[in-house]
Amino acid sequence: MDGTFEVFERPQAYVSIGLRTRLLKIISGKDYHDVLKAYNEYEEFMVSPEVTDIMLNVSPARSILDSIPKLKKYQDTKAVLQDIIKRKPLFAMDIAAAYSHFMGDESQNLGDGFGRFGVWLSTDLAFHTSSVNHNNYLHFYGVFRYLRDGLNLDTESNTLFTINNIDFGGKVEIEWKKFSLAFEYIAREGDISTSRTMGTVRYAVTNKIALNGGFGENFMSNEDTITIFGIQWGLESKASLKAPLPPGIR
Amino acid sequence: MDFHEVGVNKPIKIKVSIGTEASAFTYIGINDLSNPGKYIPEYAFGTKPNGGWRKVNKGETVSGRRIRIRTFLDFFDIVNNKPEFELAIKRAQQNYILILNGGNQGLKNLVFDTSSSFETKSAILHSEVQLT
Repeated sequence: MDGTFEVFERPQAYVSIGLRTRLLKIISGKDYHDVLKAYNEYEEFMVSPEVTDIMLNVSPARSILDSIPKLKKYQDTKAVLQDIIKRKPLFAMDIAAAYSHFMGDESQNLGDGFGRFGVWLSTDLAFHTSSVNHNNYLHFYGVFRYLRDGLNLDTESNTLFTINNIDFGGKVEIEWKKFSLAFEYIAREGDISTSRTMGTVRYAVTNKIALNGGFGENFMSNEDTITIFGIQWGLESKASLKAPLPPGIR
Repeated sequence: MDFHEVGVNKPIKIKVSIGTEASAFTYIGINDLSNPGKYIPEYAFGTKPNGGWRKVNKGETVSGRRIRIRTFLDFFDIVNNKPEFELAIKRAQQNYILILNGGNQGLKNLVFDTSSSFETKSAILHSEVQLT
């Protein structure tokens, strides 16, 4: 892996490591009761005489894997349950940290050393607007970041120096079916004081491909930044309801 | 098929439990003497990691009868791709407990076959035992 870090003329080599985990997730009481109700209906059906007769008397056993999915009641109860499972939590808090180590550049007499280190804490308060559409949400995000950047080049002395910054801010996002519209403001304080104000539009073509558009002012930019078009792929956003839940429901 | 000598001992009991991320349901049936090839349901239940003992044929003698035990696993969208699915199946197989108790041989771990379908994200663990 290599990159210029917006500092070097040529891409440099670095090694990086990162981790991310969810610290806290809260689901709404309504979602919890909905998933229990849906699972109870699913379980009642799975132990019903109709299903039990298929499970015990269809041969060979492998044929059951074709027979059961064809039952309408199975399809309906499972669809309801899966739809509820996909709902996003009412509140979530994630933490992440990453470090990239600069491997040095002999051509510029730069030895290896501290690269960049960051810690992020983000929160998401999500309101499910089911009265509008079952996939609609209103999100309120909060973010706090500490960034230590050792890849700043003093061109006079040809040495690297470190700056420390703290970012904090928020974002409001509306999700409506496959569209989302968001507005964020993040302030940066520390060795550099600046801010970022961005609006974004996103359309999820599939679960793995999304079209993005952005507008606003990024950190350290002197004029508005406009991104006309972008494509993201390889992403899947999956929400899940967790414990205490019946077995098999994650 | 498994075989197990029970003689006139009773009750003969079966224990089924499984540790899996799937939703699991177990069905136990005994062969219908008046309808060859068919099985009369005895139990149908959601399979737990710590299942208890269940009497076969309501605790009466079972010599000469055949028991069929099938556990259905439904993975929903827990698994995203085939390797993940196959790994989940392996975990289920390793954590599947199927024991028969009673008769002249005491405790017996029953063997089972596995059929799975990634398209439907489901699997069936099948076992049959002839009691003599």
